[in-house]
Amino acid sequence: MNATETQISELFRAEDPLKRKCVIRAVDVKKIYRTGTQETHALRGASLEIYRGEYLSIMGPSGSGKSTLFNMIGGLSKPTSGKVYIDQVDIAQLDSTELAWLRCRKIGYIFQSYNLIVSMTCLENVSLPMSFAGMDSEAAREKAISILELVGLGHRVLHKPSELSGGQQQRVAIARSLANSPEIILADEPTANLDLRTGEEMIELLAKLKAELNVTIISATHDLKMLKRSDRIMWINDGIIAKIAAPSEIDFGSKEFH
Amino acid sequence: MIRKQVRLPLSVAFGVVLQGIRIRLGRSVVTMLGVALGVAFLMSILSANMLRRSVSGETALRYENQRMMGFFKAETGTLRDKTLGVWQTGDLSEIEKRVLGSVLAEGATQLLWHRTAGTPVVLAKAKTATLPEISAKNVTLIVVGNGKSFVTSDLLEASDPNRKNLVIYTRKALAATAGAPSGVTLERELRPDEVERAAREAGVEKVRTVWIVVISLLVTLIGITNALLMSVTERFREIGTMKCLGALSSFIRQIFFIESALIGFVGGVSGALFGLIFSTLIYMGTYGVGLVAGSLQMLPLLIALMGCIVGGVVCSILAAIYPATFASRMVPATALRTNI
Repeated sequence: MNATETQISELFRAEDPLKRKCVIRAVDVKKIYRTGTQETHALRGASLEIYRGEYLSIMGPSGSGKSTLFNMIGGLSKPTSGKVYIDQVDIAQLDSTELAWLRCRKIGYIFQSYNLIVSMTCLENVSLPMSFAGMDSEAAREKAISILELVGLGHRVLHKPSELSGGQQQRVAIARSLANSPEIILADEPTANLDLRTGEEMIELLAKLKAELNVTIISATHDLKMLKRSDRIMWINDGIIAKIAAPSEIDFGSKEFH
Repeated sequence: MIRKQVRLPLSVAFGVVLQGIRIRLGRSVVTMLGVALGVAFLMSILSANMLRRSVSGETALRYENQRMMGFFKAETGTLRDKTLGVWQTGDLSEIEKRVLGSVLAEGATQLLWHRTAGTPVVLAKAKTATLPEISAKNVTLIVVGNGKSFVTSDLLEASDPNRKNLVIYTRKALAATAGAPSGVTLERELRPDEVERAAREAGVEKVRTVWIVVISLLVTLIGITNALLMSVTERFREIGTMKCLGALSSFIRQIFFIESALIGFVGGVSGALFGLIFSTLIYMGTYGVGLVAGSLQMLPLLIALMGCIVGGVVCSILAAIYPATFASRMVPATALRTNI
């Protein structure tokens, strides 16, 4: 274990006397984007551990490296240097079929703009990851219906995304992220495009899923209500993790939240 | 433990493609029209070539037929209600069939048919007879066989001065009726320099056709590649999403290949049919419906049609190589970041 890793484990040991299982670990992750001769350091060495069943919120201004970190821990792009472990496996060592398997089974993604496949019905959107996982279509159909019922869209299974409201579309996206019973749900500003009330419903839904299915939820958000419901909040600024704290330690009245 | 993602059966990709085409019908149709245009161009060039050849063949046949009938009627007078003798010494050529058809059309009531060689010919008004029987009837005898040029001569008159019969026979038929006096060839043979010039012109024509075919295929290819690239760009987000959901790169590739093959097939079929109909109509307008319809050769046209459709599909699949590879290699994060 190198110096940074030791430092990180010590940092979390203080907060984590229960010795929960670590599902995602990032060690000194750096990411440099090159456009022509221009180099952009999106991440300058981020290290963190995320535990099973916890609800972690990531905060940071735009351009802080928040999305980049998000992509790294979700296996959506590879770091320029440093390591990302998902379930103790270094994702840099995985080939493309193993990465696809990981994205399919281990992680569920929820996007700010929903990213539903517009040509498919809700049912097909939710069962698509199941067919990617090799599930037969009848079983996938049944499971998709039961998940859509879970998110309260049992009566909309054959609708196309364009026929649904933003909140309903985001519910479909949440249902889709649950398709292959992932251990981790990565949500990128899931409430940003929703009105207040729908956003709250979404937060309740995620909290319910966390409690019932023990999934790990990692969400990039600025939504105060979401921040308050999370177990830990992480600040990222200028490509560096500035602070990690529990909501109870934070003054939500301060000006950085307004 | 992390395992490898399974490959999906093609039917899954096929379903995704069909849904995609249904939703993006407008742009799929535009892409398809691009293919159709290229293939239609190709097909109209090919079929126009074929039509020109068969029309000029047909024109020559008609001219020759008219000429033969002129000679014929000059010798026999009207053919109405006449009985004629036919001596078949070989397979009938196209012009011989025409002349016999014209003879019947002019009102001849019966053909006394004597066959010594060649494929039997079925004609409603023909009746099998021997040469002596025909001679006894004292009718005009037409000698036909395999060949291109016709000669007229008073063949039987030489052996029997009492009979005033007309003989129409080909050069081969002449050889078959050995011992007969030579007739007069009505068709001039081509001089060697004329033969050479005809061959050279045919060569130039062939090069020109190949050139036009290659150009139109290239136009189609570039058109489809461009359309597919645009469709990749438009679908960055969807591709990224699918990758997040666990789609393999091969699945993304399949989607683009299947889609472009489908578009190529539909575009190829409609384009080839359009091109064929277009050039046929143009030729019918220029040379008359009857002439073009009468000279249509179905088999070569059908082969050209099939060739054009296959060409359209192959072009589409070739055009999909770059966009499909590009899409399948995209990092999901990059694909998702793109906002269109």
